[in-house]
Amino acid sequence: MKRVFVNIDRCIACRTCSAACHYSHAEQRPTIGYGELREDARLPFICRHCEEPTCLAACPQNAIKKLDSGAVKRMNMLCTGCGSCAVACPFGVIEPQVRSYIISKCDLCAARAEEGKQPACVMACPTGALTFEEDDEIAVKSVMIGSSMTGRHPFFRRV
Amino acid sequence: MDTRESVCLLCPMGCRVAVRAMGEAVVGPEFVSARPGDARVCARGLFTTELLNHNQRVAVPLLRRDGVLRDAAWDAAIAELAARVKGVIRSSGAGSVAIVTDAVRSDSDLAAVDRLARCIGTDAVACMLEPQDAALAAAGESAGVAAIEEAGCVIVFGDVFFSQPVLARQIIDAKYTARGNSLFVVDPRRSNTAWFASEYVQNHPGTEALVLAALLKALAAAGKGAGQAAWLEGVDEKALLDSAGVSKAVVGRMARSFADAAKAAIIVAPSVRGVSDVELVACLARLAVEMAGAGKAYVGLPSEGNVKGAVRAAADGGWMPIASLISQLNEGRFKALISVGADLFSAFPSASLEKAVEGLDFVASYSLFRDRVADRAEVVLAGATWLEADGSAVLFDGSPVSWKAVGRPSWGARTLPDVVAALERALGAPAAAAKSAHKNKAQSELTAAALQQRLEAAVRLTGSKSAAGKSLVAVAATGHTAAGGITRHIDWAREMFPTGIAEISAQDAAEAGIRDGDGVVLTSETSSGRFSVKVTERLQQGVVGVAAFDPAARALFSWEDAGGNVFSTAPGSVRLARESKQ
Repeated sequence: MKRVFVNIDRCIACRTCSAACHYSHAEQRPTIGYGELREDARLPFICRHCEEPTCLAACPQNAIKKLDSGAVKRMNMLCTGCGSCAVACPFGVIEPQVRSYIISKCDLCAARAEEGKQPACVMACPTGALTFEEDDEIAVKSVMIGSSMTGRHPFFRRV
Repeated sequence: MDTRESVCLLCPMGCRVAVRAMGEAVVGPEFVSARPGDARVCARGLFTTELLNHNQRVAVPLLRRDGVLRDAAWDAAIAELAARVKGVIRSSGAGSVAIVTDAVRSDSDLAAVDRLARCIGTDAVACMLEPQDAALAAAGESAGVAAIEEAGCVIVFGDVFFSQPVLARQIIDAKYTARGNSLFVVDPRRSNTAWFASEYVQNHPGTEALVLAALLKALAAAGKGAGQAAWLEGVDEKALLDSAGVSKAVVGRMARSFADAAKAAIIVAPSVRGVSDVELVACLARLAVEMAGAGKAYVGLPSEGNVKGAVRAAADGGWMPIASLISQLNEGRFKALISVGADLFSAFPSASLEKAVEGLDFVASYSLFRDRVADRAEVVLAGATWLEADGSAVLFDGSPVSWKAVGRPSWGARTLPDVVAALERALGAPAAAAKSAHKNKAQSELTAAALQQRLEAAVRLTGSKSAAGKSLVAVAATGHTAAGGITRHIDWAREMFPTGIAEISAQDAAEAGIRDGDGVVLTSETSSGRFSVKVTERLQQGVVGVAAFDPAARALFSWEDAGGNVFSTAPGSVRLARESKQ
């Protein structure tokens, strides 16, 4: 399936992806959070759309479904905003903060995908750090988190 | 639903922004690039589309009745404004009406401001440029983005990835294109841009000119630019390096990389706050480019979208520098103030200015939001953004850009040229032109002697640092910060760029027994404010970092009329004290 990948050699922590997400899903908090590794690297946390999503298993309302495309989507009308998925997510990409009884959950911009467009965060990224690619394409390109790590501190690794 | 394109004017990069629109209604931002990264838009650019539908915008004109601003018709508001202006002209003369505007507007808006001044007959017009922007614009033409893309060596002064994120792609590409390419970042604060530097140079606050002078000396020592900087021979290199806190070796490497690269660029970014003399920095950067030989480029990035257009309008119309206008306002020369767009109190916060405006007979505001100037005004006109009218502007590299309106002005707002046309009719025949009353420096005229004098002054200033106090640096998010600062009204943007925070180094925190989140009071020569502490490894000991878009932080800096380019504090002049618990 196609996923959003982050090339940390290009991410400048400008949070444009987060703003684009906010405006593409107007009723929610942005589904892209930011994590800080000390003060030397600040990177977007984006849903990985797991093969076996724990958020899906944890949802008492069956409000999270895995689509044919592989995207893990929250169904607006079923979600009660209980936050179980946020607790269950092993990567912490679902914000527990609830607004209007719905949690914020990346759906890979399903509405844009129907129009044949890439997710908003990917299109907005000013440095090309976010890419939307097939798993096997990424493996060939070796562009993913940590792929080009030399085992050094991220600050120095960029040198 | 269709897609319409416009231009972002929050910073001078001139990014194309696109919106999804249905009829007259704009739904949200769209991305029109063929591939990721080509959209060339940052978070602040995305915010602009929210301005169109913002629920706190001034929807209809407001008139103050019995001390309260109440909705009014456009005709009534224009008639009231014209009557009040006529009254002030009769009692105190046309020269007692002051007009301020900002640079986040199109050329036609700026021309309309000039027309309004002619119609009233006043020469007291000023554009609220950030203090260093006029100096950057005066330092001469900047190269475009292409100069960075092709560069083998890029030297950045400031946090350009924060102030202009859309340049990051070009800078990162330049660094990674070929082995041996280098990126030097000179900044007192180890910023996000510094993450990517092949060599990060942490200088003392306010010493950018000194680092550049040391670079020039290194270039001259390597036989570059024969005789172009002969005046530098009299400058003590050791004093430069000691004051700047950088080593000779790193400046030598910077000079070698810069001179050896077939193509190279020096970027002077607006986030260089705390610099005492931006004009000197820009002139020395240009001199370095000339000395290093062919293929080198100087890129100067002002803060707001149409700074070049505003500088041009000011030169053509004989406008005064904003610092002069504010000092005359403080002296009580004016009786009325017409504010077009910007929030004067947030851009140049000071108690004396607020008191001076309080003492005026009449204040009018044409603005998007009920800001603090609008709250003080008798007449508030519902302003339109640049997105709501056809327009043109001049970008940082001097290239023109134009756009079509993406929608009609929201609610009852009207575009500035329409408002001025109505005011002209209401005021009657245009008054006699009051033109070219003020000297506007369109081009820097710093001679070698002047450069040397100002450099020595900068060395003296930084060398005289008091050990007890702290030095202040400020980071800037362009457009969000600068004089206009309209994105301050967007909740999500405020969340992204929090105010009221002061960064201090871990050593300073340990010495003073301060922890993350503690309250401190910062006191400078001009102001005092309460901030919440963030302990950071980004700063050296003895340096305090604040946000340049925070009005309380801006008040800590002094800005003067000396070339209109001072926005600094003397090194070591800021006192930091723990907030006493009541």
